[in-house]
Amino acid sequence: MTWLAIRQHRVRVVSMALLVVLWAGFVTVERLYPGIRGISAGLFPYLPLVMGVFLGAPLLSREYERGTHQFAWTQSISRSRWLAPQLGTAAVLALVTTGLVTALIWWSLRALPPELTGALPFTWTLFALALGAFWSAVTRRTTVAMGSAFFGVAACQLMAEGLRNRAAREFGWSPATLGAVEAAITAGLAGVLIAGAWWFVTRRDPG
Amino acid sequence: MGATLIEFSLDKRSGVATYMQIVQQVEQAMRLGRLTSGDRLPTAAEVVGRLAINPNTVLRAYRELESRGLVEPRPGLGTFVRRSLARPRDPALELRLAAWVREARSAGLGPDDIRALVESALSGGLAGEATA
Amino acid sequence: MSDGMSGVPAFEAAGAGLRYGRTWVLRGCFASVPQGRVAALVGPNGAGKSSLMRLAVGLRRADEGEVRVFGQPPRGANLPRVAFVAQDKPLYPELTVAETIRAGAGLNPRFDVQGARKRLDDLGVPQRKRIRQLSGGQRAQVAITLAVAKRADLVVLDEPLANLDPLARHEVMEGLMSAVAERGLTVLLSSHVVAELAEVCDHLILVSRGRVQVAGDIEELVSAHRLLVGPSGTTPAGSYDVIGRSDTERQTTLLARVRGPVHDPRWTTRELSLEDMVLGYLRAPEAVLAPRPVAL
Repeated sequence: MTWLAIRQHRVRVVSMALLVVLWAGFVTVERLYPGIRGISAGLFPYLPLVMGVFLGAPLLSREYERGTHQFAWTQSISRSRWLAPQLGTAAVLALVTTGLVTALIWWSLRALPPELTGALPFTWTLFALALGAFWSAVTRRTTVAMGSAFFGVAACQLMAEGLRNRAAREFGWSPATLGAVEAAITAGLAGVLIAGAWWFVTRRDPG
Repeated sequence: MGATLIEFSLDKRSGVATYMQIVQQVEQAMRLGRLTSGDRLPTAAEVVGRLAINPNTVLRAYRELESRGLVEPRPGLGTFVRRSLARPRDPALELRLAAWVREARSAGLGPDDIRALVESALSGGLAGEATA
Repeated sequence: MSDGMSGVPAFEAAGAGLRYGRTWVLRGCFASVPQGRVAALVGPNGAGKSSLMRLAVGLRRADEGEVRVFGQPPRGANLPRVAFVAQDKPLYPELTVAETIRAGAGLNPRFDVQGARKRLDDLGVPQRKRIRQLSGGQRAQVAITLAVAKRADLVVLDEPLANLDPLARHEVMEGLMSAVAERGLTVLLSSHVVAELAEVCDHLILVSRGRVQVAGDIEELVSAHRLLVGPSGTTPAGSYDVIGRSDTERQTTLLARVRGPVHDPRWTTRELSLEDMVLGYLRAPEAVLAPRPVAL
């Protein structure tokens, strides 16, 4: 039921739009004062955290906390058919936001740093969202899921940093190869986490 | 379908089964001439929309009235009164009763005393019966 | 009545059990509700009423035995036939009433949008208001309206009257009973207050200590039970089962299920209310009167 999923995301759509506007304002300042250029690009790693914490973590726990899963899951459609538009809406919102922010950074720098090229920003966004949604399905508590998503994404980013350096050193991979491998791994992990969230929603009984 | 002709009311403490209260109220309305031959009883939906009772209870009351030969269901139309129970009014009789009630009151009898007297007259237990 | 006379029960539990972790909250439950009935699910708090309802609407699967709705498990293609109103009437608080109806229409292929709007208009529920702005009674009416508009054949309501004032209780029941009269629904509703169900229900499922203790037609059940009062130290002649007894120095009171006339000049026989019968069984947890349904 796509309409309901989109309607439930209305506040989050507005928040993401606000985020993009703020980012645009900051980038405009960067273009006026070239001395501070690059700060907005440096803020980019926080974006997946925002996606995991504010789009992923509340996705299912808000239903459990308010009891509305009892409403949603006793209508005429299966839980899978209910879950797909919820995840889809959150994913589209997260990807559009990431795309706009990436474009703004490119507008400021006229080039993109390696960690922002190709599919990489988008797979990280999806991974963070999926991690939030997974914890949301497992813990059923929004605050707990938000915390888990925040520390989970941050830890994965640190680990990725270390692995990236090590792979460059030991295998002599080019930034392009590194980026492609990293994108594949994050996308794969996102898929596994989504499957996990789906399993918890459809297979485990609600309490 | 026409307007609702009668409304039922329930006494939850009477101990009388709900369906029987409906039966009695229809009978009473027929005796008093408020329901006559050809009148439609309220539908189960109309009754439960006011009384918040089980519609099966209303249907059961109507079946009971049907088995007593008082009403008949017409499929798709509703349940209709088959005959009249009201007796032709006798003004002279009513006047004499009203006069007697006034007399009883002025003699100091309350409503319950009067009712007890009437009951007792109906069951043939009054002083004058033997000589009358 | 929609296929009301067909023999398949609207709801049937065949040895159903449910556990949370290692704790069984329901075990070996047998009950069946014929189509077109208004069934009361009663019992003390925590006895397992909500769990039995969750099984009936497919929110949980039975860990033993089976639960069937119109002969099928309450899942997949059978979901449109069952509607559920959970205890706190969960609805999305940020949605308006009109948006809630729209959501219902999107989630249910048979949803009756016009009927839902008209019903809420008749009840005076403003459709531009958000769910969170409604009174408890209005919110209950919206939740029940959605369940009815789903055009389900079985509507399950968990404590629909809890937390409502007397007027709202009456209005909720009126609305529900009207829907039963118009659509020939089967209703399964729970309460821990037996008295408020006596006018409304014609079928009983008494749940206590995680199992179905008594199940059946209310009138048959009530007419099969008597209160027998007589001198202590004697037992009346006749064919009956004693469910409960209380003794004083001079007299003995028996709650009995009678199978034939009880003739004993020293004993008086009194009829029971539904409430007294339920209380009698709750005081005698070992007495079970839930006949196992004949296999289909």
